[in-house]
Amino acid sequence: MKSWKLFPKIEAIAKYVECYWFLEKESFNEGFDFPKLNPDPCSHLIISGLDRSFEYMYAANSQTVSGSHWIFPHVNTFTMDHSDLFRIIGIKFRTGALYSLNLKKSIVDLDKIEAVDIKHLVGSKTFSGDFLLTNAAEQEKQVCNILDNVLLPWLLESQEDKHSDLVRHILLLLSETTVTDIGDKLHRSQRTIERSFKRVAGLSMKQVKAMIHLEEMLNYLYQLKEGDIDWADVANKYGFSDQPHLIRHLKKSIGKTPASYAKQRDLAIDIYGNFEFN
Amino acid sequence: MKIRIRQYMVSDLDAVLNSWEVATRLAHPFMTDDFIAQEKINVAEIYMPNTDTWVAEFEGEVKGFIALMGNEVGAIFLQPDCHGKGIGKLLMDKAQGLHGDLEVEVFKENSIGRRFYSRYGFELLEEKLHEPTGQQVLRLKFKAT
Repeated sequence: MKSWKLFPKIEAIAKYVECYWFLEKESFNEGFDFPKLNPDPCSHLIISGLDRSFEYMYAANSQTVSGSHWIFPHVNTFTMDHSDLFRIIGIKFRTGALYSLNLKKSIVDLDKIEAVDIKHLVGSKTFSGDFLLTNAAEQEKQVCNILDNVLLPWLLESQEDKHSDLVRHILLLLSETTVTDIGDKLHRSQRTIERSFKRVAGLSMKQVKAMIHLEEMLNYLYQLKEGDIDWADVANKYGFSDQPHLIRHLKKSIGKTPASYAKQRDLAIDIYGNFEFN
Repeated sequence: MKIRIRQYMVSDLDAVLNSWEVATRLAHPFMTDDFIAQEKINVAEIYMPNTDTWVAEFEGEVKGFIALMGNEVGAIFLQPDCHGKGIGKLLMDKAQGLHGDLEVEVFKENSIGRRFYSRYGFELLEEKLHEPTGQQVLRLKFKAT
């Protein structure tokens, strides 16, 4: 297994792209074949060779695509079929970024996977997923520099409006501030900020806040051994009024109770590690 | 002595591949035949169709090329008998004119390439291991002034 995560160097790109990441499964006996992807308010653009297909499942729903594709914001936890070998580069967009990139209609579709022709999307003649994938494992800085170059003209065409401006401010506050206080701080009515947020991010503020907190909690749990987890402490740390609330929340978002999750550890972070620490 | 820099055409492929292979073998004595054979296929099938490539014609023949992906110099190679005539500099000037700042990676062992980049004004960004060859690779940056 190989992986890395790097940040765009150009500010005009970092405004919309949170990071670039790479993941390669090199042999059949590594990793777990069906890792899960917890809910995410961000869209990811996945670069892959055309010959490789990807399956994403939740409940009775299953979506399969070949080659490069979008993973749009999802409120459900996806189970991925990673039984085959694969090599992918991901571009993680910031929450609501697609609104400013003329892809507005796409983000209304939550929980969607969609095949994409990246060359066409970014309008670049020299973009080559194969080239990037061939070099990705060894030359990550080069790959990121090329991605910066390829994305820049496209991202410079982005259009901001009063809604996206407002959402940018909301997102800075969202993790630490109650939804009511955000309205006061930004001198807007509750209704106005909710409406702009829903329009840009495709999700309610409450939904995104819950996803951010879940992600933070999963990152924290990742660092602990099963026996070292104090669930009452975790509930308190991540803003749940008591343990039953935490249990219900986990069951709903990742389909498992805390105890069974701590045993199985089958989320992408558990299988592929936290890219931050690589 | 006439040097002309022009955009790459598909009909240049053989000459470009030849300049790549001869110069690559000279600059990278540590590369195995297998590695070079695989890379040659990559150059022909993946790199050339997807880069912005410029060739150098010397006395009417294609003697070398520079392949760009944005400001990243993916490759610059020149027939060894044409080294030292300022042809490489003209290729790099073309890239610099198009993109301003440039970045490139070069094997530490490639003294020919390193001398060329350092004379042109590239500076070291970082050094790291290239696993497939076990060699150190340097990442360099040229800052336009």
